Formats: sequence, structure tokens, C-alpha cells
Amino acid sequence: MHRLLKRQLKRHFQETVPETFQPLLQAISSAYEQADLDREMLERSLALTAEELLERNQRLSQNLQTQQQAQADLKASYEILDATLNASKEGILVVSADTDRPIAVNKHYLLLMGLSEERINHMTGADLFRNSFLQLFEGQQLYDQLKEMRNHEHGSHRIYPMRKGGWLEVYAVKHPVAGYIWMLRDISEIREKEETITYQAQHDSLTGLPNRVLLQDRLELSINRAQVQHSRIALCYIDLDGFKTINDSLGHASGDKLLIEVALRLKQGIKPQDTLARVGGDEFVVIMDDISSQDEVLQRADNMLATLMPPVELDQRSFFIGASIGIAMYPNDGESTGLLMRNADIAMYRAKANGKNCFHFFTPSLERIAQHRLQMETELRKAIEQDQLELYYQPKVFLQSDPRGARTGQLHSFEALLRWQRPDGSFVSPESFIHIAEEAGMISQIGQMVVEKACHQARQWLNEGYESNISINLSPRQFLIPGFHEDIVDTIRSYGIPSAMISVEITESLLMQDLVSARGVLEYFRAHDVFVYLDDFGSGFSSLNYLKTLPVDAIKIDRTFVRDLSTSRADRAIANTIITLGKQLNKLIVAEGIETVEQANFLIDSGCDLAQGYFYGRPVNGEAARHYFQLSPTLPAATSPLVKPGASE
Amino acid sequence: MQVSQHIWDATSVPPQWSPALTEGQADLLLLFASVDPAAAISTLQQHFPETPLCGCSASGEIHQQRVIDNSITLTVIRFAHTRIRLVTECVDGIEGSRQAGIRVAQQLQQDDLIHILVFANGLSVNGSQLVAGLNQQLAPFNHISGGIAADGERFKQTWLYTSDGRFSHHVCGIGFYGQHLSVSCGSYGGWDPFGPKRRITRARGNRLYELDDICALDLYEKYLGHYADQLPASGLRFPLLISAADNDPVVCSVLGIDWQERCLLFGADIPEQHFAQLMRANVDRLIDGAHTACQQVSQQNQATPDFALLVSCVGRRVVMQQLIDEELEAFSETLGADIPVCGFYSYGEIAPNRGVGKCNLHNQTLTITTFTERTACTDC
Repeated sequence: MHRLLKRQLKRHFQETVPETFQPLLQAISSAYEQADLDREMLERSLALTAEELLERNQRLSQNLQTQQQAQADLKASYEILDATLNASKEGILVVSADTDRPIAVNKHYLLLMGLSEERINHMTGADLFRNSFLQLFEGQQLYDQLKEMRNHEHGSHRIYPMRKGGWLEVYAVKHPVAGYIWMLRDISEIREKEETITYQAQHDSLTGLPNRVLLQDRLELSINRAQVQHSRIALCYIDLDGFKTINDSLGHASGDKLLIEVALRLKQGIKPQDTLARVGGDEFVVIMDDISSQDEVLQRADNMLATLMPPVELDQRSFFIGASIGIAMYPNDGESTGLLMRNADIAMYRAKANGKNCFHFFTPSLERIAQHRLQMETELRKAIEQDQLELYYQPKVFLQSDPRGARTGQLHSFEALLRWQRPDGSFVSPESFIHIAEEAGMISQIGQMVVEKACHQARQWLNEGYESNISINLSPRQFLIPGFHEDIVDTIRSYGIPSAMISVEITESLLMQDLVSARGVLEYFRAHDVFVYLDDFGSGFSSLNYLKTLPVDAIKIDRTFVRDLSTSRADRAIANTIITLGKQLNKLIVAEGIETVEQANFLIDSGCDLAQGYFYGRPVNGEAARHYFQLSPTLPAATSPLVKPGASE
Repeated sequence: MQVSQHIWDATSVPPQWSPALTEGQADLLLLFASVDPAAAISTLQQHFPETPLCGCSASGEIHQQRVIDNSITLTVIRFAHTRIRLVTECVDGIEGSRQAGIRVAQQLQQDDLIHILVFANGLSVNGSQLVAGLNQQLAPFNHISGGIAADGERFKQTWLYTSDGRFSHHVCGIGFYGQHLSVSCGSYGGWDPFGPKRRITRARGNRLYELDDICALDLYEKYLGHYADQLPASGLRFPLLISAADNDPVVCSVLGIDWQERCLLFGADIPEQHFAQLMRANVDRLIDGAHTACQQVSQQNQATPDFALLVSCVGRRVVMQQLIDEELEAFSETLGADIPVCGFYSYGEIAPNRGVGKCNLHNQTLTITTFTERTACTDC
């Protein structure tokens, strides 16, 4: 029975409870027990629930704290990300793939796409796409890029020209979480630099004209086009005449000015669609497309030469600049760029050889000449290496009796003449190889060799007791080599012979080339007792002014006047005049090419000082030349015969 | 419609029905027992050889608005117009419950079907799957009620009875046909959820393993204290309110324990990731709940019913103990004291939600089904 019921019965029922009440009491007792059980259950449930809730509350608080920390961390990392994004020079946009809204954008993107922060907040991905479309040229490409981005794991990369100018590089990639990521970079500057580099790689920095690289490209294009259209092309190779002289004498700055002027003029002389390129120091090439006839080319080449005709003003002086033009035609003269260039070059050399300031079309025979020249050049190099070049000596003799003892026909001095004897014994004349040596840049080497050989010979003769002057010929090209004259004097000294034992012969054309520097060189020779002959006088643009002002010691009458002395009155008059003039100017007069007794007698009678020619002696090698000493021994002092007869008094 | 009610008097010699069975054929016999009714059924087979019999084992029988134990109760029903049909289906394992429901529904489905009463074995049949099968076949038809057989507070063996004998893995369906019959239902629990909502983190079928990643059996043992020794019966004190965002919450009772796997067994499926909240009883609220169920019925039908079937949960008995009669008094107070009532304390109640909604398996409720047969058919 329930405790409470027991107590209640005890309190209210002192007597024993009747048996009939027992079921009722049992029911009351179990109701009490049930209530107790219910209460117990309820209390237990409440306690456990409270405990559990408390525990959950604590867990929630902890979670909240963790979440707050995570939120703070997230905020910080978002701020870092935001700062990083905004620090980037790239425009960055992220559009959610789910909502089509921009979820990240940096300032540079807004700048590049002309948007404000406020505006972009109200825009969808589609709006932004439309905006990009408006900002860029070739916007339709954006659709392709969008498709490509969706299909390719590595995204899509394109470059667009911007409507506001410049170039935009756009990289787009799809990310499974972030969505569509667009990265924009303004590459205008890089592109500009690249273009500049490409331009510089393809253009001549001085004239701004295409260089050899671009010329090659253009020529290939022209050839391809001509092939398709069955048309003709003319390739003109232009080489300026005498440019080097101007460059060397006035300096590079003036040379550059001249080239710029030439480029301008040539440009005026060609059609807009033609290509004018500068391919070397003073070399230009013109591609003429779609040529109808050779006459057309001829006319246009003439035009080009005509544009160069007017004098160029440099340093307050006027210069005439000419050009030699070689022309090769496609397809007749070659179907490849290399062949056309080579053949035009060959034709240019012919134009130069033809007297400059003219043009020449390529012909197959020119090619043969060019090949021959190439062969000669190769052989000449080999000849220099193998010492096949040697000096022959032709005597100059007195024509007049001299008060100091010289008599007509007596040996005066020698002119050293270069001979090239091939291993097979055949001779190659200097006329055949000197110009090749000059053009191939071997003249310096040959010039030095000549001086050495002459000095060596003079030294040898001196050792044997023969004392005679040897004159060597100087090429105009040698004058272009800085310090060449000092080298000559140094070489003479190195052989321990008096400077007066070596003399030099120069041509009129050399003086015309660059009078100022020629004067300096001649004065140097005079100062060092090196005697100077002016060779071939009368054959060129003889200027009497040279004779008056230049330190020239002797004049050699050109052999053309001597040849016809016996038959031509005019030649006799000229010879007489030169001799008289020379005497008046106190120069020694030498006649060369004397082959007959008539010629000799005339010159003796005219009072010419010296003679040279087969009549008096052929050029022979050093060994054989001794024979001349034995026939007519020179005067004791080597220098004395060089003095103008009577001048010593 | 005529209804007579009888109790098997095993003490008389020979044992017999009291009051004695009247002569003449009947249309339906409903039998509920908490003792072996083999002898009683045998007499019925002789007396009503043609009449379908259906019933089940119980955790207490409801007889004439009283609760009795260790008895066999019989209700003999005679209809003036209504036809009935009884079908029995074997349930092929607990997984076959839904298919059994479908088969029963298929056999009973007819145009003038008014109502279906369903009784099934407990423990061997998944009640919620059975109802799902019925719904699948019959929806939107929702006039289905009944209950799951019980085994006192032992949770060992339940039986289903028909005139062919007793069955352990079966379901019976009784179809009522004809426009003269009017059937109303009411169902209400009156339990209060308490404590935190817990996520069902591990469950399989009707087996619950973990709530919020903690062993569910541990939780029950903690809340029951020393009453844990009386599990699974004491587990009836704490049914679970299972809810999900898109469903009406459902009350589920503990029907067994698997001590080896340390999990709780329920009469219905426990879906993972749904929420579960412990419920507790307050006797007054349970009695109020009985009143609410009765009111649901009376709102549907103003006429006094000819007969009522009450199915109440064994969990309510465990809590209410000797106050259990009060929920039957709620019935007589609301619907009338003279109405013949039968029924039983079950391991699960089947009825439309709140008497009118979708048919569902309930736990911890009082479920009422009233039958009224009109002499004139309103539709005829």
C-alpha cells in the first residue's frame, strides 16, 4: 500500500479498515503510485531535458563563437582578397553560374569597361556581356569565347581591339564553385612595343624605309601575286655613286643627311604601291609590281635618276649624287627572291662599270661576267695567299742632257708595275684584276704588299750598290683607307732606305674624288721626301688649278697623246702645251707609252724631261732590272735625278 | 443494422458465449482476444458457418464501453442492405507489407465501396508500408480504418483470427459496400512533444539506431532510468514525433528492442534525416485527446451511430492505467452511452488523419470508426 495512503488511514481510521474497503484502498494506492511514477518520470524528463538543453546551449554558444571567429577570419580574408583584386592591374570579374549576378569585381575591371560600382550592382551577367560587346570591336567573338570557356577546362583566351583605342586581352575560365571568371588586361602598351620592335626589325632606322628583312617578305608576296596573276615585276638595285667619299670627307652625320634626302627623292620617283627598301649603306632596292613592259621600267628608272639629279645641300655646300641602277625582271631574270636580287645586283655593277649614273637591265651575259668576276676574285685571293703577285719594273729615262751629267737615254728611275702570273705561266693584266681587288676590299692588302715589295727591291739594289727610285701606283680606293700614307712612309723607314727612294703615282680621278683629303696626303708625302707623280694627265677632267695649288712634283702625259704624236697635230699641240705648262709650273714632265723613235725625237725636241715606254725598256722583274743599271748606270745620288732639271740651281 | 455483443465464458461448463448467441445468420463477426480463442472460434464455425469472422489478439479488449483483460469478445453484426467482403493476404516478410496492402485493396476495390476495415499482425508486418500499399491502390479513397494486433505488454507474438483459424504473418481487409451505410472516423493522440528536436542520423526501415549521432537506445535508457528494465513496454511512455519539412508529423511507438544491435524497433519506418522529438503523456491531455477524436466523428455525422469500433494504443493504457476507462467515458459522453462499442488496445491504429485526411498508421491515438445504416438510401 502507498505510504501516503497508509498515513492517511492511520490518521483518519484508528480502527482496522473493513475488508470490503480493501479493493477501493488498493485502487487508491495504485492511483497514488501511478501519480508518483508519472511525477517521477516528469521530473526526470524535465531534469534531463534541462541538462540536455543546457548542454546544447553551451554547444551552440561555442559554435556561435567559432562561427563569429570564422566570420571575422572570412571577413579579413575577404578584405585581403578584395585588396589583392583591386591591386591587380588586370580587370577581374566573377559571375555566378547559378544566379547570373556579378559576385566579385575589381576597380580595374570597372575602369576598363567604363562602369561604376553603383551601376554594376544592378547588372546581370547578361548586361555585363552586352556592355563588353559595346566596348570592344569584334564583339561577336565574345560569343565564341563564352562557348569555348564552357567547353574547355583550360578556359579561353582572346585579344580584342577596344573601341576607345588600344588592345584588350581577355581570359575566361569556368570554375565549378566561383562560376565564370573573366580576366581583362590592357595590352595596348605591350602591343605598341611589339609593333615598334617588329617595325624596327623590318625597317631601317635612319630612313624609315623597309630593310632587307621586310624587302624579302614583300618580294616574296609580289612574286606570289605575280605568279597567280601572270604579271611581271621589276627589281631595281640602286647603288649611290661616290657616296663613300662624301661620308668619309664630311662625316657620318652629313652622310646620313644625304641618305635621308636620297630616300625622300627616290620615294617621290616611285609609285605608291612600289616598295622602296634600304638594304645597305648606300644601297636601295625598289620592287615595281605589275609591270606592263620593259619601256615602263626604263621610264621609271629614268625618273628615279632624274629625282637624284638636283644637287644636295650639305654643310652649305652642294653635292651631286648619282646612282647606278641594276634591273632584274620577274619571271625572265629569275623566279626566286634570291635570284632576282643577285641578278639585279649584277646588272647594277654593269651600270657602274658603264660609267655610273645610269641603269642597266640584267642579261644572261652579265651573269657570265659576274661569274667570271667571282672566279677572278677567288683566284686573286688565292694568288695573294700564294704570293703569285709580283712587281715588274719599267725604266724611266732622261730625254735631255743634264748639266750635272745626265744624258739622253740614261736610266732615271723605275715604275713598279704589278704582275699576276698564274701557276700555268699565263699573265693576268692589272686592268683585269685591280678593279676586282678594289670592289672585293683587297686593295688595302695589295697596296701594302706593293709597298713592301718595292721597298724590299730598293733595299736589295741598294745593298748591291745600285741606287734607284721606284715609283708605286696608288689606287683611289687606297685614299679611302685612313692613315694609309703614314703606313707607306713607315714601311719605307722600316727597310732602312731613304724616303726619296720610293715615289708615288696618283691619278687625276683621285684628286676629283676628294680634293681636301688628297691635298693633306700629298703634303704629308712632300714633307717626308716622297716624290709624287700625277699620272695619266690630260685623260680626265684635268684641272689646271690642281697643278697650281697641289704639291705634285711631276706630270705624266697620258699615253693616248703620245701614241699619235707622229700623225696627229692636235696631239702634238697638246703634248707641247702640257710640257710648256709643266715647265712654267716647275714640274718634271714624263711622257709614257713611247714606242717609236719618232715619238722619242719629238719629245726630246719639245723639251720633255723623262720618257717611259717599250722604246726605252719593257717592264721586267727585279732580277732582270739589274740589266738596266748595267746598261746605263744611274747618277750616284738616288734623289738627284728626281729634282727638276735646273731646279737645284 | 443489428448488433449483438458477447463475451466468452470459459468458466461455465461447457464454455459458452454470454449472452447466448441468437439464431439466424449474421453478416460479420468481429472477435478480439487476449487469450487463446480457439474453442470460441470453433463454436462460431458451427453457429455461423457462412458468416465471415475477423479479429486479432489484443492488449486489452473494449467491450460495451469498458476495458477488460484476458477475455474474448465477439460482436455479431447484421446489415439490412450493406454487403461485406472479407479478404486475407499473407505478408511475405516485413518487406512485403506494401505489396500485401496493394493486393488487399485490389480485391476489395469496387464502385460502391464505402469503407475498409483492416487488421494486421503486429511485429511481423510493417504497418506504415501496409497503409502505403492501400493508399497507393485506392487514393484518393481514404475511408480506411483498423488496427494492428497486439500482445499485451509482451511484444512477442500477435495473432490474426478468421473462421479458418489464427495467423501470424497476415493482413485481413473487410470491405463494406452499398449506399445505405455511413461510416465516420476520428483519431487523436493528446501527447506533448518535449525536449530538443533531434535529427535521425542512422535508421534502417523501422529500426532506429542513432539520433544526433548518439545511440537512441542509450537516450531511452537515460530517460527511463530504472524503468529501462521494462523495455520495450516502458518505451511506450516516450513515443517519438517524427517530422520533416514537407510532411505532417507522425507519432511512432517503440514496439521492440534489438539488444544485440542496440536499436529500437517501431511500428512504422523511421526515415533518416527527419527530425524526432520525444513525447510524454499527461493523463488529462490523453483524455482530452479521446474527446477530440469523438468530436471529429460527431462533426461528420449528427445521427447516432448503430455501432462503433474503437482501436486505442497500448501506450495509452500503460500511462493511464486504471484511468483508462475515462477515454471510453469520453466516448459515451460525446456520442452516446447506448451505442454498442467493441475494440481493442493495439500496436498501431489505422485511420484518416484527424478523421478526414489521408489514411495513415498512427501510434498512441484513440481511433474511432462509427457505422450507421440508414433504412432509406439518400442517393437512391
